[in-house]
Amino acid sequence: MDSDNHAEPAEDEARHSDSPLHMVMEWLQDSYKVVPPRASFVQGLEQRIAAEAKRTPSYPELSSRPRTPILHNARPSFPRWTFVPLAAALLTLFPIAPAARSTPRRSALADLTDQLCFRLPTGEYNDAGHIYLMNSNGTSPVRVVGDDRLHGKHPDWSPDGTSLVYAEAITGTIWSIRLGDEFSAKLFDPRSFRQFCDYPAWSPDGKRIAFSRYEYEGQYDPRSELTPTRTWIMILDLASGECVPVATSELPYLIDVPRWSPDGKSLVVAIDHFDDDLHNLGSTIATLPLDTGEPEPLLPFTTFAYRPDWNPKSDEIVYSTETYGYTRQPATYADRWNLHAFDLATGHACQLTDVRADEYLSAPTWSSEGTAIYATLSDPLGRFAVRIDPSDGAVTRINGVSPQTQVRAQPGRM
Amino acid sequence: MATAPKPSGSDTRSEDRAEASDAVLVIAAQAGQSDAFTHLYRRYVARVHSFALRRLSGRETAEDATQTTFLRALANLHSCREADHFAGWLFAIARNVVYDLQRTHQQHCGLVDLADDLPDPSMSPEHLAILRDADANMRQIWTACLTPREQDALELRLLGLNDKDISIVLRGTHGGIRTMQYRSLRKLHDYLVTHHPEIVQEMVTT
Repeated sequence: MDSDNHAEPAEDEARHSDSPLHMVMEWLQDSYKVVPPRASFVQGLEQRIAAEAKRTPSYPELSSRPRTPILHNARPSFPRWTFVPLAAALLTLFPIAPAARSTPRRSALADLTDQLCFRLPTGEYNDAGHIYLMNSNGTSPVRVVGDDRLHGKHPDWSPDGTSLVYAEAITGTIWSIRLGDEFSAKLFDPRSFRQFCDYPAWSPDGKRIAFSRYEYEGQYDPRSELTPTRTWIMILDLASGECVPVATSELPYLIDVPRWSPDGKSLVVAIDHFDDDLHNLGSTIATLPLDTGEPEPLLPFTTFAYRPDWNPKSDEIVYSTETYGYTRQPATYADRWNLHAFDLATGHACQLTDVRADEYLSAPTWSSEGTAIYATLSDPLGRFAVRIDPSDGAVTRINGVSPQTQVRAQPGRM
Repeated sequence: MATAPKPSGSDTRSEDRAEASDAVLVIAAQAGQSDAFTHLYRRYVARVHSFALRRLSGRETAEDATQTTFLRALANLHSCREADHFAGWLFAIARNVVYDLQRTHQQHCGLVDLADDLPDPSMSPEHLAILRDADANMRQIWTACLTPREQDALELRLLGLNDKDISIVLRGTHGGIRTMQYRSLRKLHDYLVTHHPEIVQEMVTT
């Protein structure tokens, strides 16, 4: 309680009526006044709302709304909050063995063409969710990983478009699954309660997986907003199973989110700069040649550049920016997230999109031909998968369904 | 998410509606019962207006923001997926509407004179002055020592939103919001001890 660094909720201290914070809260409650609008305004708007509500078509009840089809065999359902800690413990003690490739269970998966993979957050907390596929026009969403214990995130395609690699949000492990298979295969487990892996990226030759490995001061908790103290960029050789770090970083600079260059000789990564209070002072993107392991920043940290992705057909890197920084203090009301592209040939960056202040574009990924960009658009109504034309910055919502995040196009199809 | 009861029939009495939870009203409104949203409106109109008024200069602009917020919420009610967190969803819309208006009118968050806006016009001038001074004093203090995001979190708490709702408005996690509120109260306390010991003394004695 005595330290600002001690993250104790206000309620705990406020329970004690003589605590200083309780007194401050009471003072605020006594001083703060709710100011209603004029009665004439309230009545006028109520009449308008009543009229509008009658014109608004009836919505189907929640229970009868069409649900995203889930293509997996039914498993016993558990209350998630009961199950998640149990699942984490069990997965640690009894890791799921890589399963033999099985035959596809549903022909629908094999029949789909021009596919996008994406993540459907399930809402219990930030990292809970499952990986889905849908057609490029947003139709026919199907769930890829049927195991409810595996909360997949940040999926990436194999270069032949037949498999996905993803990070598991609860245990911080890396998995892959072949389309149509029932089971995922675990590729890497940090085997430490303080470590977590994320952002896997399949190399262009299909032989390696790059990913971020994070270390925390205490136990990793997917429900918290902890900042790691150390990160590694790891490369996993799929043939030998050997996993080696190619770069490492410690606070106040942390590198993560590796993405491959088209020739497979370099990565592009994000680097965040933090102050002592773990506020984000700046962020940039950098190339990381595998032979040197030395990141080479492309932009000043004040750019606040995040989530780079290398065009598979050129030397162009797309990234998102927030005008004033993700967690910079003080925050400002004019924050907006747009997409930019950095041309390695010329060394110039250009802004691709110009969204409204209440819209946030993030997690851009190139199509396999490098002619379109997919991203997540957040606005007050939800999070939507969008396609962006890099030539004019036009943003098109794929199917207007929320929430859909972390969209990535299947290689060879788009 | 709590399981919301199935919406009742169209002959539901108005008194029942007034006491119904947000989740019941949201699901009823989504099912086409037009009076349900009216009850949600009555429940939140003063708080949304209050939130807007402190960020926009002038009652008319705050009323514009309030109107836009509720009409936008009504038009998009089908997208409110967490019916029991309607408050967070509504204030997320309100916050964006307010920022749009700030940008349009080149307004900035600042102190507004609430002289014409305090609740009860029948109050005595002395009581009115006390309330106005207390409110202005408090806002001056928290503007001096809290970031805008911390101010938002604390004000939403004072408006009755819970941590989960606030995390929806501010796009943070539940735990992160709780931690931020703790730190905000700590910062306010430290600031008061240093700069306004008379207020701290008054707190202790009362």
